[in-house]
Amino acid sequence: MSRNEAVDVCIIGAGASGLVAAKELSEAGLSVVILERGPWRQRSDFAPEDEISTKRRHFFWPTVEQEPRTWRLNAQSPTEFLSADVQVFSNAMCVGGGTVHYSGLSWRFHESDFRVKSTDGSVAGTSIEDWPISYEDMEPYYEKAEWTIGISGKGWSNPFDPPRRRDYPVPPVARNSAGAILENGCRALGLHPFPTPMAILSRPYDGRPGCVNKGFCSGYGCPVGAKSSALEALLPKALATGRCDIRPLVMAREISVDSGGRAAGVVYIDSAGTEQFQSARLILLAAGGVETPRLLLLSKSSRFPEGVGNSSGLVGKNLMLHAPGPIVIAIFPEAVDGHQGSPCTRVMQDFYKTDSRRGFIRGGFVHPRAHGGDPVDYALQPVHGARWGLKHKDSMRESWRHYLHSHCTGESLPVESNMVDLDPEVKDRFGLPVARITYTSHENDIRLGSFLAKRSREIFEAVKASKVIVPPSRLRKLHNHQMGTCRMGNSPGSSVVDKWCRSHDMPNLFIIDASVFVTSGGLNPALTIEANAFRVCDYIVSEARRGNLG
Amino acid sequence: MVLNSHQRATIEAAAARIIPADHDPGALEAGVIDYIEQTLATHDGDHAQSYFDGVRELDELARRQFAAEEFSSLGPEQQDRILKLLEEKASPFFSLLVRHTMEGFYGDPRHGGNKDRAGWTMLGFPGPSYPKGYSSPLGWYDGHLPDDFASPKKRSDHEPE
Repeated sequence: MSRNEAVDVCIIGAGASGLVAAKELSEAGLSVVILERGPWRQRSDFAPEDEISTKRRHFFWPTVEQEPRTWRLNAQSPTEFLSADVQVFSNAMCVGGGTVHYSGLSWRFHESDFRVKSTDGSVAGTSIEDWPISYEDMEPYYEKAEWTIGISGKGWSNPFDPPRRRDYPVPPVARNSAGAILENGCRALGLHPFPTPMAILSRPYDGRPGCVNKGFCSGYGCPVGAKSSALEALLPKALATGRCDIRPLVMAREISVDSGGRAAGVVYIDSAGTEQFQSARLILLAAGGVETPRLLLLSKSSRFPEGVGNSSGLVGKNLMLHAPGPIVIAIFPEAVDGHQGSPCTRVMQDFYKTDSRRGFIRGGFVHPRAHGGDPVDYALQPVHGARWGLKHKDSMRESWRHYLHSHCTGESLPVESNMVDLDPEVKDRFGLPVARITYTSHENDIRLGSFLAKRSREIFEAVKASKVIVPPSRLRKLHNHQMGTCRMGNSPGSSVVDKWCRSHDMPNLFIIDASVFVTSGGLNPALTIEANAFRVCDYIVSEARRGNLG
Repeated sequence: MVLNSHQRATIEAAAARIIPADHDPGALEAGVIDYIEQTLATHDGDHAQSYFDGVRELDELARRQFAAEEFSSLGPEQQDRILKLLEEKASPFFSLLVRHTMEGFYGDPRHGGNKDRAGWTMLGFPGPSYPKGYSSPLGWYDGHLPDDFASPKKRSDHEPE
């Protein structure tokens, strides 16, 4: 095993949180190495609007052959391989992570999202807790994330938004027809639509160009550079310090521990298949809600037989993948032209708070999407009357320019038996046990998903949709939103990290991705992941200046 | 070439029933077979055997059902009946053929199919707009429904010069 020169900080995973940390800590004068198992692609590598090479051929996502994962409904049911169709509901394996291909909805969680137990009490079968931090603790970091990453939006346009001190740095992206339909459907029903806060620049900002409304955003990298990904907005700043070294195409396989019980460094396999050891004073784990617990569980030793950082036994537990809302399809008499504009331009949050009359707690939102183009994907969807033949062709001709689809994103409650652990049989291409996902959506999640689907139908019918199709919900097996598997808390017995996201067991190990979420919120998590990483980095820098990092 | 001439003719005929020609071109005219050849030679090499076996099955069914020499010599209705038999028994080959036909008809022509953008023209998709993109209004509804959040600049976009 070859040994690399020791650095101050080793970050595992170059996604949303890892690149926030790379920027913040290298700018503060610390030396940083980032390990990333995927490739480092640039703006010019993103084939514009090519559905075949990007989506059909899994440009971003772990492939079933190379990076399999398995799933089972519960501990008694059989385990199956996740299919390619499900694996795309994963996050990109590349520098920038999921932010490279995300749609970019950029939310602040609400005040109540940080105190679900105090707000809603306990629910049978769940492990609901309050977060050890509040919205007030997060607010300055939400602002910092919005202004550093470049979020477009209109401050105070959402009557349900938590308090903010400052507007967004750039105005909302251009509305498109899916947005116009949502806006007017909501108005007709007395709801409160507003421009979606998006990680897409509506005009040039911070040296990057504005959006040209070319569509094909969700699932694609942006060849314009207008999408505010971690790759575009954060990495260049980290590299400019000269103190940040990024190593793509390497696989971290173990966090090693020294004789004093501190994290000593990371063992990784480089692109030539050689093992290397990176020693660091601090280890920041930022590999996402599935791979982060997997690495901790892989880091077994006689001293830590259950894996590193796992004295609570909670590493991998409480996986939350958001409520399994169906993707509603609505077809309109006039052209929606969903290949034009940003993925989501108008949205609403009227159903976000708990309303006990609905028969479930918490809430979520409806976000009709410009479909982004993707004719192959639409052609292969089961919504058509016929899968093939002239009837299929007729339906494509009649509906492709006229349809939108609407996602229903809602909170999923934490359940301890929903988890990531190591598959006892299946190994990846490095011979390491893969992540096995055990997941059953809680009844509350299912009710919430169906509720949002019904509300979607009403909104589209209010704008005279010619057809609204609500397909049955599919079983949730994996999702881009992977949260909860190393929850944050004040007590070492009931959480994995403290409120600064520092391991209760190991003072120089921090976990900074969505694994630390205590509850899931009903909103896309990226901005909360980033804001929390900014918050944790502020703490790390202040501790470093006080000489407390060892 | 991954497929021999008989296999190629058989798959071409089957794809032409998945997306038949009418007043718009179908899979045959859009060169879907060239997409299939290209993807089998590159990304989907693992699926070549499914095609070899699939061609044998199509011919076998043509013999059994219609006492015909081969699938490609059947008329369209007979071919449809054979494809339906495969669909009804949830044949993985049939699913693969549907998937590849859709990819070859609606995907970017750079991958070998969608000749002369036949699939895109049929949909009314003008093809990739990068780097130019689109200007407002984006779609009919954006141009015709009120916008409570329109910026002053956007309003002037709609006014005559």
